[in-house]
Amino acid sequence: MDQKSHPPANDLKLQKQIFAVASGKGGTGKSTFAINFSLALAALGREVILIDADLGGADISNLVGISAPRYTMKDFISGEVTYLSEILEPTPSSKLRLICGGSDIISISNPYYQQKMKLIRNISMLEADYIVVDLGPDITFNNLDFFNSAPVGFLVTQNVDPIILGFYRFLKAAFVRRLKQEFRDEQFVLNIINDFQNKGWSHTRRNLIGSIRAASQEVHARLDKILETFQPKLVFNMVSSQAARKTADQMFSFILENFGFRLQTAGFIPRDRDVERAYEHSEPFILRYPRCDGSKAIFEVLTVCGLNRTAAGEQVRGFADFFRYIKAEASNWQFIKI
Amino acid sequence: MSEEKDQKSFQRGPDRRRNDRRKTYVDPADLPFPDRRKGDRRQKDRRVYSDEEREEILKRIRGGEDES
Repeated sequence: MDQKSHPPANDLKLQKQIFAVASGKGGTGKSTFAINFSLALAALGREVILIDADLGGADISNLVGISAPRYTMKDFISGEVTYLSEILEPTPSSKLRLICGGSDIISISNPYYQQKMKLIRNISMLEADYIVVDLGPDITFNNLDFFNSAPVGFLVTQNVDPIILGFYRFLKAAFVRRLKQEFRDEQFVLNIINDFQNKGWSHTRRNLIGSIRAASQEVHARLDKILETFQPKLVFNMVSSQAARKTADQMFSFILENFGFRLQTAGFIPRDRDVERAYEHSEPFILRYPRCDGSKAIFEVLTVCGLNRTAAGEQVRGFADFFRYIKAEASNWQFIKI
Repeated sequence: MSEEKDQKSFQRGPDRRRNDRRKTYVDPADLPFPDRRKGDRRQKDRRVYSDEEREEILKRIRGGEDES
């Protein structure tokens, strides 16, 4: 079997403004973040496509009030339509379109390699200012590859142990897979990574980055490039900001010490009754309760990521300004009554 | 005749394939992706997480809370 017969997903790096949203554990608020983040961008006049890539467990369409989408990802993966652009679903917002996931057949959860590559290629062919890809919660090769293919990856977590650990597992698995893809032609480096995975944590933890760097100058340079570019953005959901910041700081230093790359904080979405109420009614909180703390947190994420600009290039400087755009957007959504 | 035939079929069996040095064995786990249409097996599991790692993370992120 020729190893090079498989171009890794990373070779088809998605170069547009594409954001992958992952979590490593279900129920973290990943899809809620993805829809509200997408709506915030759409409210600023940006063309946005939100893709529900939670293959097998799709539910975003419900959150935007589409109960029976005409097409889903199933139609694309099964080859019933040729291009992903054919299954774009309009939403009440003229700037936001949706690609609904298909959860009605089980085989969609496990697409063939070629189907996955076709999907990644088609995502990069979509015409939009921003594409937001909401991934499934579990640590599968599909989710890891989609996450690693997108230029910007958000990881949504909460400040509770099982979810923090799930986020850590996803992050580590994505990083190791990224390393394996990059160094697939360097058997010596692959052996180091396999050793790292197979032997005990305390045995190899300090050696991973150091041992790879020591392989050769060329490998050293390639590794440094990965460490520079692999910078997932962390979104803490349902947290008190102070406690979460402390956890985030500890995680950042742990990751940097052991894996050599830096995490970035994108924002903290507070525990907010309005957010919960909107979720109970399957409505995006940013539209249902535009003044709520959750909406402010989404604006913070836009600002931290440098996305607080309208389509005309005008900078949205404060939340009061942002609120005007959100309120105008909410008027397009008939099921929302402010 | 039948013995000869048996011998030939034996030579074409698994033993002959095992000694074929033209093929270099590649661990499927080291392949970037399995191509199941070509009969590749799923990638083997690799450990990405251990109990001692879990304890260390929790100690790290929760350890300081007692002091505050």
